[in-house]
Amino acid sequence: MNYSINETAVRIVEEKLFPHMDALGITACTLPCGAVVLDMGIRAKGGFLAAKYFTEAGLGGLGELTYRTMEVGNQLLPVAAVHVDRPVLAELGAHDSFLYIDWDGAKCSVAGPIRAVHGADPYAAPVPYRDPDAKKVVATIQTDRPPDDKLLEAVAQAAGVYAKDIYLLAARTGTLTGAAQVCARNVEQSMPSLLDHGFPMETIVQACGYAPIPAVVDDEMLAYGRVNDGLIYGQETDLYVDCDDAEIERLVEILPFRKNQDVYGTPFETLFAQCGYLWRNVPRRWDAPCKVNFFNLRTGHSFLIGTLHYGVLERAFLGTNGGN
Amino acid sequence: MDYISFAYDRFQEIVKSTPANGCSLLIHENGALVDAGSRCPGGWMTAKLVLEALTGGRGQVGFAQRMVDGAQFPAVELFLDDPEGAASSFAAGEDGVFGVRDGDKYALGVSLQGAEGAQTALGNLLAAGPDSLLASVLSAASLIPKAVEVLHTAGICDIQWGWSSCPVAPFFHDAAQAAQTAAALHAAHGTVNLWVRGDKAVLQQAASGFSAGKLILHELATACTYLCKKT
Repeated sequence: MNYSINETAVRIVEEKLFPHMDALGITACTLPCGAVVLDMGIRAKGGFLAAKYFTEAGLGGLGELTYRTMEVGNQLLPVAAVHVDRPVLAELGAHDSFLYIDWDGAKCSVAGPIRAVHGADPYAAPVPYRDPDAKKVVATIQTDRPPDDKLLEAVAQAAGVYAKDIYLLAARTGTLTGAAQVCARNVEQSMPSLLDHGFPMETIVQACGYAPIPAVVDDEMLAYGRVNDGLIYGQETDLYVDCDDAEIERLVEILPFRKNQDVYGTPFETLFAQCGYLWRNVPRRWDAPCKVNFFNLRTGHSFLIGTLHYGVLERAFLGTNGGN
Repeated sequence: MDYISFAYDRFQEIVKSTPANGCSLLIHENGALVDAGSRCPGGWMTAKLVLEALTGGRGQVGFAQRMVDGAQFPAVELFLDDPEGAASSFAAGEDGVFGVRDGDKYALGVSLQGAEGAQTALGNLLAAGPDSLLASVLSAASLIPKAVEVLHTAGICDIQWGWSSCPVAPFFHDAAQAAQTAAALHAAHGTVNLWVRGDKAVLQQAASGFSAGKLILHELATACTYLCKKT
């Protein structure tokens, strides 16, 4: 393919971020290894625009994040709305966070178009796109630790690039940047589950998605809980596909998060605590989309799979004191 | 881009689109005046550019829709990274003009008292009457500045981010009727959320006492949320 999603993401970094760091509430530094780390919300304040560019760079420039509102019960909640081109490439090949590395003994994951350079992880590998000639690459990470040389060298090795060629965008979950960019992983969350269930990914034509942004909090563990509530109980993805109806019908019971009847309705904060606050203990089946609407170009049929859980969403929005 | 440069830029965008945007331009001894709703109707695009200038480009401003009593009303939605900066832009001087100042003149100022009242202010001005779309849009956009003012008065100064959604009230030549309609509509359907750090009792009181709309305060350190109990 004659376009580079890394080069498009680099333009976002160099044209939208660097010239406006004060206004965006972000900072940047060059590490000894030569990588440039942009603090979009670890110690930096960040915000709505920082989250927007974090997401759009993570998509390789193949989509946009905008903000909307939705009614949930008696409340109006802010929403991260994502509209993405070439959704399989943008999400499985870039935005999904599946490039795993070891950082000082802790397993963490990296996302972004860096994953498309060599397709180094199991979810980027099946995507028929590579970006091996990009002069600079963009990666994103959700972390509350400022990235260091050890991390960047590990990322470089895993992705098959030089550390000095990396722009790494980083934010923790307990900031608006972090919370909004997680909630912008609405379409993103659907794709790996579809791949896992053998859905013919080449039949996905277009996609967009929405997820409410719950109340942001400083505490990182609480923040994990709330933003994941926004996804597993509030995320809704629209997929336009061209396939046999049977490929969609067999997903009705096995795709959405509600399939986890033993935990469905429990806030993620509680579930995460049950896992000892360790991501490696979170069952893969919990990383499932809340609701996916399939619109089949081939047959004219629509399938709405999954439901939103307003009760959990209101609770995530109304805070620890329930809005009192 | 800083607030001032951005405001100059937005004003030039408005001027470039005149008269297609429903506005007219007058260059006078004190500066440039765009009639954006006094003798000219103005329009949505100009109103949006004005909002972008007043919020310093620090966030997303736009139009949406809200269902009110069985009808889809246009609404102004703001998602701001600098609520306090926006509040400064909305603070009017004694002459009723507000906007982004560059020293003793405006990079982009707004007067909602008609074109006649705007020519004494220095710099780049937009003028509109109270019975204009611009006035109605800016009124719908004013929930965040009003909430910031309430918090500042209460001593809360750590305001991080904010968003608001408020229907745009219909505008009438009868200014009193328009004002009454807007106040009722905003109080019933306008929502403003701010992420802050501050004292629980102060935040509770601020949220409960806010009458311009529904104010919801999310306290970042305690993870608590405060809103008017009667809602």
